[in-house]
Amino acid sequence: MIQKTVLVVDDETDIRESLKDALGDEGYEVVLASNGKEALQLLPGLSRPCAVILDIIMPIMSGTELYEAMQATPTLANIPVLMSTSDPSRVPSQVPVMKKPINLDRLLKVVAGLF
Amino acid sequence: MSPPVLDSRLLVDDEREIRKPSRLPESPGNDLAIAFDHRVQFYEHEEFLYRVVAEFFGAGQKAGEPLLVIATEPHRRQLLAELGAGGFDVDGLQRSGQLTLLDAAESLAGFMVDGSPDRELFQAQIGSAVAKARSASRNGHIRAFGEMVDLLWQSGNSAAMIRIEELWNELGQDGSLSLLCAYFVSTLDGPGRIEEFQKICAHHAHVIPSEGQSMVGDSSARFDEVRRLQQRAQALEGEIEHRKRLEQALRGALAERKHAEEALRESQQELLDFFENAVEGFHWVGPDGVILAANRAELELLGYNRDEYVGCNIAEFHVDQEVIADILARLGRNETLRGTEARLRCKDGSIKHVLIHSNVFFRDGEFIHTRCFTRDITDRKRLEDELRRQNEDLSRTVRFSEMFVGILGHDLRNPLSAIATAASLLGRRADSDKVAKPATRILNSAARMSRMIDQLLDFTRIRLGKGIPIQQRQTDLAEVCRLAIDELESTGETRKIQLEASGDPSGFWDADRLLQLASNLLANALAHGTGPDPIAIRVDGTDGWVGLEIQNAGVVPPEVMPVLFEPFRSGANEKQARSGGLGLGLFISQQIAISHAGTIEVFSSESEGTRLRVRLPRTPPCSEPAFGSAGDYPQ
Repeated sequence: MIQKTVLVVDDETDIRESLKDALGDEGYEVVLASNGKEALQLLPGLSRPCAVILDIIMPIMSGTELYEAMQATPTLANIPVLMSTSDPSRVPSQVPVMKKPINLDRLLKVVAGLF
Repeated sequence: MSPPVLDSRLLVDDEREIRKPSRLPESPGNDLAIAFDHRVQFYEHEEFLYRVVAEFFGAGQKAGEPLLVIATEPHRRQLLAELGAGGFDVDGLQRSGQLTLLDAAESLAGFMVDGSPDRELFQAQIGSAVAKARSASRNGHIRAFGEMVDLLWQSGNSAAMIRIEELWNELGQDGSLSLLCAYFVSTLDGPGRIEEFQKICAHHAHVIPSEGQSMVGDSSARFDEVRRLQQRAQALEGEIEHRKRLEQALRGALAERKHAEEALRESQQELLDFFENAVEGFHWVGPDGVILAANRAELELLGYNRDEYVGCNIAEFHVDQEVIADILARLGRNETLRGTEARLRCKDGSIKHVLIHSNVFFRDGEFIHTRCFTRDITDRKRLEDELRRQNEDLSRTVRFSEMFVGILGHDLRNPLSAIATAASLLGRRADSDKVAKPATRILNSAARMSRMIDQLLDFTRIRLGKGIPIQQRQTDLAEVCRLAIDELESTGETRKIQLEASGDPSGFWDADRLLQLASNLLANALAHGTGPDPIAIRVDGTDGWVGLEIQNAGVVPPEVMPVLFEPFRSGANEKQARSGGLGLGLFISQQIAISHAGTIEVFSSESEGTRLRVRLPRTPPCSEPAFGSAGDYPQ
């Protein structure tokens, strides 16, 4: 069975760690990043298939900026993204969104659907 | 003009002469039979008069009657010449005492006292002369010709003239007398003598017109002349009446004018009072900018004496020279200024903010003066400045609130999300209830806190006038309701919730907001429902509308019904506390329905319990798809 990778990008450490545990329990390989810039550096090296759970408001590089950078990069544009935010109004219209605080059961269900 | 030919019948024989009522009987055609005959002859030429008198005396002389002449010296001389020319032995008549000559002016002087004839003196002088002449008469009758009245007439003393005519009439009662009075007729032409003419006629038995009126050839023509004279007399009488009425009307008009002038004076006084004592400041400015007048309110407003203000240029009192220059320029173009703000400098150095209303009085295109009202708005300006400061403070507060909302929305949700995720993970990893139950309690509390944060954020947004933002996409309302039920059940809710769906439940809505609405209504139904009764949710799509009804067995007290959808409503109580809300759930639900151009209503009764009904248009007006695909919400 092919290992699925999920990149969790969130500046809130507790959220990152909890999601890492929950997704790890479900068999995903989980990679963590605390902002968009860090994530952008990690993305090319991630094993495929992979998906990204992306917070929006973060220091250094926001989730929206990261998404735009991914869309501008052909090798990254096809990677599925789920945005997790307290303000869904900032999410680009074509991107799935999950409002904080996250319902973990529902998030796992949506993540499973990304692959 | 040559004197007309005299027809003596006019004087003594013609019964068509004007006859006035007489107290004495008269005998037409023979004046000798008349005891007292008092007649008046109007004349225009003295030659005519002499002939009339000569004829008058000629008839008497033949009858041997004494003749009495009371005339002016020139008239006496001419009369004697005329009589002599007519065959009279004038000297013989004078010597025999048949002809007596008296001077009219001297005779007047003998009985006039203070401009009026004295009756006793008249009787003594004139009466004696008449009696003396009569004593020489064979038949007791005498003839007299008098000009005293004409002298008075010509001197303007008509009252004395009439009085003498009356005294002659009295004298006539004492014996037989034929008296001829003569009046120079041109003096009657003045309009003021019409009344006197009428009185002269009234005091004579016979009125004989002047030669201009009577010197016609035949008796028929003379009759016409006499008739015309009568008509003239009547016309004159009518004229007198008319003039009396005119005079009366004139007096009335004068009285009315006097009254009007009085009213005008009062009106002017009132206007002056209005100007001077008006509460509003008022002034006039000439075309050169010089103040021509100012009322008390204006002077009091600025603190100047009249002498310190009137006569000065208005620009001296304006703080902003460009403002007064603009005002005068606009007024000069005949513009009307309404509510022009300006600043005036007071005597004590302070500044008054004023509102000026003004226009210009032009006469024949010439700028005469302005009409300026000056209203003190200093207090208002102060309040406006204060209000502006408060608005700026409020704006800062609003900006702070918005910042607060942002912080609350993001910064609180993040740790809450961490708590919820960790609790959820804990629950999933739990091997026993000893761990799972506390994890569930943490999760429920986090969910409740999340709802409260959502509500506070929404309420703040609504209070700031921003409304509830909606992001529309294709949504299945029945699925939204199922999700809401699932969420409730995941928190350990054990009461039965029945969902019934019929028709097409889809529409173009904000799924996240409808989930919030359904969760709020369900939480409300659970909080206020009674006992273990099931909660019923019905979704029904028909035509362009989709309805959502949530029913429970509880009853809303009547006093709560009008305020049910108000925030933090007074009905908040312990029961509400059980639901874990802030009293904002129904208020925000209503706002969500309104944001979708929908409605929310409540029906409550003992028999049917409480039913909350939401109706949403399937496609709210002016809505466009915001998302091409959905996230974690049903399509």
